[in-house]
Amino acid sequence: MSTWLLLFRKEMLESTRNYKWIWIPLVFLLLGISNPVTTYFMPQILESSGVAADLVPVPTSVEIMAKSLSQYGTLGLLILALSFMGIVAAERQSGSAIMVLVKPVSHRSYILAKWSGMTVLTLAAVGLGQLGTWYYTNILFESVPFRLVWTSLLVYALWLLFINTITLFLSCLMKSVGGIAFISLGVAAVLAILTQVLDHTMKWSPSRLTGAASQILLSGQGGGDMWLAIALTIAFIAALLAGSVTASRRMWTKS
Amino acid sequence: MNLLEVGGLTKRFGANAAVDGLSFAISQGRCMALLGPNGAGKTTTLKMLSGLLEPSSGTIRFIGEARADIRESIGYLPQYPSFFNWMSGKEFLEFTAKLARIPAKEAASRAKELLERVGLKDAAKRKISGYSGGMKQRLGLAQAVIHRPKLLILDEPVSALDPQGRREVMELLKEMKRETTILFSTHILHDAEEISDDVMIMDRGHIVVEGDLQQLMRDHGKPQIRIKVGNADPAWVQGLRDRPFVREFEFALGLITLQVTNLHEARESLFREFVDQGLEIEGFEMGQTTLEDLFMKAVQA
Repeated sequence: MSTWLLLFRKEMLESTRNYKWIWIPLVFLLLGISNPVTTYFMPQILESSGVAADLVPVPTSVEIMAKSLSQYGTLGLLILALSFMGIVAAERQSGSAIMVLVKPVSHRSYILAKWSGMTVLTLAAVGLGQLGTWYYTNILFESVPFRLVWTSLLVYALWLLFINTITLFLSCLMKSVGGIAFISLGVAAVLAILTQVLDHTMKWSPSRLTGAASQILLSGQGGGDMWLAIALTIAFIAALLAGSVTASRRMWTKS
Repeated sequence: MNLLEVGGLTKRFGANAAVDGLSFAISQGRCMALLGPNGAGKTTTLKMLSGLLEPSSGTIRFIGEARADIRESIGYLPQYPSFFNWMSGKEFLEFTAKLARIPAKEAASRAKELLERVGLKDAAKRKISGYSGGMKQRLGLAQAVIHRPKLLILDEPVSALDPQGRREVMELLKEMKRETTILFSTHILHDAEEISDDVMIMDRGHIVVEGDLQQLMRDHGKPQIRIKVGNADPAWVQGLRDRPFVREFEFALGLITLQVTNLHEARESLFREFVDQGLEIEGFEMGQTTLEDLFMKAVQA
């Protein structure tokens, strides 16, 4: 069995044993479901508090689904950063990583296994969340074609994977796990703000993917710059992974 | 035949050289103890030999080993082993076996065999988080030998253990000594004397003394007599200094330590004096200076 696969299975088993496989998808599912459900009951909620319900426009199905996506980008991203901040740093700190790296294991397999573990878990969590949203939106409102659901989901997930990779990179580089989560979320926030403010110059920004994903839902098309942002985000992820491998190796062999 | 040859091995952290120009060899099948005070560079040396740390300069050469990755030929137990506490002992050993490229089926049987050997058979399915310090150390030993390494490197394998745990690990080491070459660091000199064939004493990044333990003891070991007297006359005690057979004299806490030129002659002469002077001898011991004496001398020099 290849070392990568062995380490990947260890990551999967670990996140099962420490219940990350339960509660991360659960948080995303709750985020996803709560959105169409609260929207559906919003008129009643407003009426009971004395506001005329017809003052608030009823959102369309696709708008509800786009709003769910943006929730994964705030609360969801926070959960991801907090659960992955120690993915390399904590093992290095505790010394358990020595037990792996003293065997003939390359830093590349070690890091790629970590990344794959994060990716599978993240995709499963957003996938589940968005399926929940879709299910309740279809029941309570008009139905949305599945093609729009999965394409927008994939585009949005790429943004989450990009931030995950930053967390992984920082985890290879830094000791303080709190700092790792803080900087990851900081990068996400700054990128999002800059992209909005400097709309024309930031066509390459990974944070454009969030807007593109909403566009897919609302209009069926991600917009002309979407492919540029996708290509560049994938390139950024690859570069960050290469950087993580180098950082991990340096961290061990130099100090 | 040499298994490992090290030349000019140096590790600098900033301006400070933790290990400075180490050159030595380990012969196949021997057990070498690496001694030295804290901060001598023992751990740094072992980490470089096991491929965890990159030397600043110098060479590490495995003789007759064509494999690209020296980690395949080395088993390493760190000073403070840390495991994946959510795994069971059995899972952990099978995992490390597979990391060392042992096929799954063989990994399982090898893990089983080693768990039994290190006395963890009954705890095999329990989570490592519930293991005692001694059990963890034995599990650590098992993972280090799981791929039958040519060289077993152990960093302070018994220092953190209670007397019973120490005994268990020492017995295991004696067994493993028959199968592989061992290099271990310790600051417990008694352990080194008990199981090692060769010793190397380090201080401040340098080798101070190195060689076959028995040979070193013969070369450096000096005949020595210790006497405990109940009613010692101070003048007589101080007068021992001037006996022709006394090379070094020490008197502390009522214990007289004499390094002598000739044990036989010294004993004859001393026994006669004991009788003539009517001394109440409480203890009389003849022997050689120990590794501890050698260690203290080497490190202080």
